[in-house]
Amino acid sequence: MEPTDAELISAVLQGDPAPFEVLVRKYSPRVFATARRYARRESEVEDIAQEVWLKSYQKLSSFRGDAPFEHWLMRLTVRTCYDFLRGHQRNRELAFSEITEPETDWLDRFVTEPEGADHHAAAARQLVGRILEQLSPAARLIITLLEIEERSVKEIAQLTGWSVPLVKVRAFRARAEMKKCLAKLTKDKYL
Amino acid sequence: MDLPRLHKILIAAARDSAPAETVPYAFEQRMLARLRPRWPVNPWAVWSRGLGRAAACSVAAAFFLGFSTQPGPETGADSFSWDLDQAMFASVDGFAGDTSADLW
Repeated sequence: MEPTDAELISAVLQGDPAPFEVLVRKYSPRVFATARRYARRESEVEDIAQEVWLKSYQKLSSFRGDAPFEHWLMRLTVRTCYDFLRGHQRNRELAFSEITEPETDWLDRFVTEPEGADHHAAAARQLVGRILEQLSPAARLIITLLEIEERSVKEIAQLTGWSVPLVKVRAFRARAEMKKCLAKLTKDKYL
Repeated sequence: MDLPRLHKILIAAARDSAPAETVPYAFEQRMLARLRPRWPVNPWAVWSRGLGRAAACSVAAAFFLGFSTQPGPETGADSFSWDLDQAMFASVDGFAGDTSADLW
């Protein structure tokens, strides 16, 4: 029978670090998937994942065991991703003239026929990635958690450590920021 | 342009492309190599490791000395003990000078 997370954590806290490898192997896929939402390059994704596991090892004694280990780890992952976004926000200023030809074609098709626009298209996925990169760290985090991952405000508050009213305020600002970004894109392209 | 619709479609596109859960090759090993210097040092483990090494060295030395002091097949036990006596008392014999030669 496989040991539970609680047993593994207890063994690590008693001074035997070997069971930590089991936790790393078990939860790394989720950590990587979350990190890939916020970082594009694989080297950055791996840096985030390493940072998450280093922090989790250092802070393991603060894990009380009230909630599953996975929830605690996901909170740590989201906060590390937010720190990563804040650290890299100076690279955000990208001109919309840099959008690729398939993205321009997709936008052109949307302008001529909004009802027939296909959200499965690779160009649409690339375009939304580009727009998310233009947002401030808080706005990007909120849009990702609230709209893309469809989490509740309460869940976001738990993941980020922000209060519920703060999440609501930041969600309002994030939507406004995204709207402004889309308006800038269409203005640059079509006016 | 219909911005709310554009927003909706782009968010739907982002929802469609869930990020991959793949973990790079040997990530766990790299991670543990980074963590290893932070692992707590168990003094008993260090002591027992040192004790084990010392024991292995002692056994090896005992075997080496045991084999090197074994008499060869062509020399008998008597000549071996005589050789050993000579080696052990060589310095004393030297100090004794000519009188020791007379005695033997």
